[in-house]
Amino acid sequence: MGRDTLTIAKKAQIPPALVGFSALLVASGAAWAAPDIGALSGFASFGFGVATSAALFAGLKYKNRSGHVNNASYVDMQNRLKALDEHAIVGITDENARIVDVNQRFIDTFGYEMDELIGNEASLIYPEAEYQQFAKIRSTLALGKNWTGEDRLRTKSGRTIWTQTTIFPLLSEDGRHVRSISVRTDITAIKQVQSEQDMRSTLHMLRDEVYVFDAETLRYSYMNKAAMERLGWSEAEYKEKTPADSIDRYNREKFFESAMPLIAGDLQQLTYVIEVNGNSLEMRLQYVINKEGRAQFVAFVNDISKRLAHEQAKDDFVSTVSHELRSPLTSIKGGLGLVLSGATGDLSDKSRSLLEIAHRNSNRLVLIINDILDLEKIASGQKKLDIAQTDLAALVKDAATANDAFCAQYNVGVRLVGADQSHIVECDAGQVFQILNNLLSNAARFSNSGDEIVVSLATDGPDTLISVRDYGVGIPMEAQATIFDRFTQVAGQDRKAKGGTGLGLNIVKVIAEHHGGTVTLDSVEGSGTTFVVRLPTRRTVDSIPSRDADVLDAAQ
Amino acid sequence: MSDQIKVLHVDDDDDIREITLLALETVGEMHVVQAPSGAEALIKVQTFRPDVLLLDVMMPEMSGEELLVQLRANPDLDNTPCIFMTARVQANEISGLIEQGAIDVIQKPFDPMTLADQIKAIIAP
Repeated sequence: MGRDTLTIAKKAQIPPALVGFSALLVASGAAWAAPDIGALSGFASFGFGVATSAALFAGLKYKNRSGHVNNASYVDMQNRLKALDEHAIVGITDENARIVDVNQRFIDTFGYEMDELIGNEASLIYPEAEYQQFAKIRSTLALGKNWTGEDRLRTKSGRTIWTQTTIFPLLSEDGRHVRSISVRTDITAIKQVQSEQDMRSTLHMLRDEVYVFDAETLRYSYMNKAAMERLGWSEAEYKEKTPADSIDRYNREKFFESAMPLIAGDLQQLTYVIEVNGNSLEMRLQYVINKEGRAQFVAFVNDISKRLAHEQAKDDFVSTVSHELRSPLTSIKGGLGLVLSGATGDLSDKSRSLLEIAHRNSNRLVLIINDILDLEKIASGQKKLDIAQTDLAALVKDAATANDAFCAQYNVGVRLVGADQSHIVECDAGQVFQILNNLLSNAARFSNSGDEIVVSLATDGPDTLISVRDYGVGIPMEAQATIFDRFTQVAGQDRKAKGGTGLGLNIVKVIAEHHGGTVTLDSVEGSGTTFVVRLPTRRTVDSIPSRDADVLDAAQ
Repeated sequence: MSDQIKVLHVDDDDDIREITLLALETVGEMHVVQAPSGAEALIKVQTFRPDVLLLDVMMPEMSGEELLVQLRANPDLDNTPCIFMTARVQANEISGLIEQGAIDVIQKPFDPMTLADQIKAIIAP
């Protein structure tokens, strides 16, 4: 026995005409004309209350919108209702929102068996997020008003569907709400088109160019406004095109080769840079399969010519500043050095003394400029970490050797601990060398004559520790808090004599932190200082390559 | 003296030229010919054959690298060792200069007392 509208209407003792007519209105899109339905159902409710249902059943009369009563044949009505059944999803609930009956379309749409529906609250077709909507509908119905609107509903399998819905309450003779009839049209497809249109209009506003093309044919299925503008194609035109039409000497095979990790799911995104017409374009490519199983590539393209130019300019600036500061210093330092060497004649003691002050400070300036430029490069990210497997044992030995002469000046020796076996750490060797350099030169300057400096390597869980310990004057407590800041040195009359730029420890800290590590100190005045640099032995997994030179070639 | 090392030094900065001259001739006992620009250097080499080229990098009109290319075109100079003097200290810049055909790079500021020794060490066979 079919769950057709006529049958359920009879069963629920609702004039089938009422159900049928509203369904007709809904199905024909006149659902938008809510007031009419309201008038009708209001009238019908009134009618139900006043006239007997039997009379309506028997006469099969129905009122049209203008209030005329027409006689219609039973067969006619049956046919109409059959047609409606194909289209509308009909359900009937009681005053407690429990399902009393549904038509076949309801069953087909929501995927439940009849016995899973009858007696259960109608809220079961509403997803949790829509419960408020459900409650609102119920309270509207309880007031004797009908409700029209869009519903977001959920099938048994969890799929979301959208429906244009009208629900109207039926009141008994004494005005009690006894039944509700819901008539729905599935508008999921329309909604999807709408949301697609919404998304497109948002994508159109992006400055990035967006391209979507078929994963097999490479035909474009979508290009946003920015993309269409750059290539000069209209929507009709781009649907016939592929990337080969916009990129010179485009190599399909090479493209698929490079895109393989995306298709295989090993990579989520491929980023590379191509040169087109003198502009540098950064492409971010992804591979997506939509719900219908259609595979497509999505590319976001960003013109980075300006960014690259800016970075180049910055690079040039650092080079230029470097040159502009170092050139005059060459002459100052050079001139003073030559005079002090006696190469230009004898000097009086007073002259010598003053010239030595000038020379010493010009050396100091050189060091400060070096440090500042280093910091600038590190801070601006220009000094990108050049990570490689580095043997710290060898690096530490190199650093000690490089500082031999300097340490000898202070009559200080360097002893290595833990450097007999190799300690492989993933780091930027050049920058870690700088850490060692800075710490060693500090240690030497603050040691007492005849002392030794101890450099040790150790492992602590996932980290490698480098310690540089001196037995010199130590750092007072009040200075320890700010010792890693820029241009902060230990106060006191010793400061100038000790030299240094005030940046060495800041550089150590910045480099350590860039590696994801830390630097700490332990110092007691009069006993000495230990600096401990902690670096992760292995970098966190970062297996996504950021450039793919082959694709670059393909696009040249 | 015939065993004096002959140096062609090119730098657009007058003061640096004067310092370098003292450092190499007075301290290092080398024979130095100088030029303030690439153009003048090319004229000087028509009558002077150096044992080593000492070139500044950042110069207006013709850079040290461009000058080297032109000097190398001269058959007498295509094997002459070249040392760049530069304030540029970035590792990639230095290796870039070596790739251009220099055998070493001396950074500015340099120590005038040791410059001559540095050069001798670099060109030693």
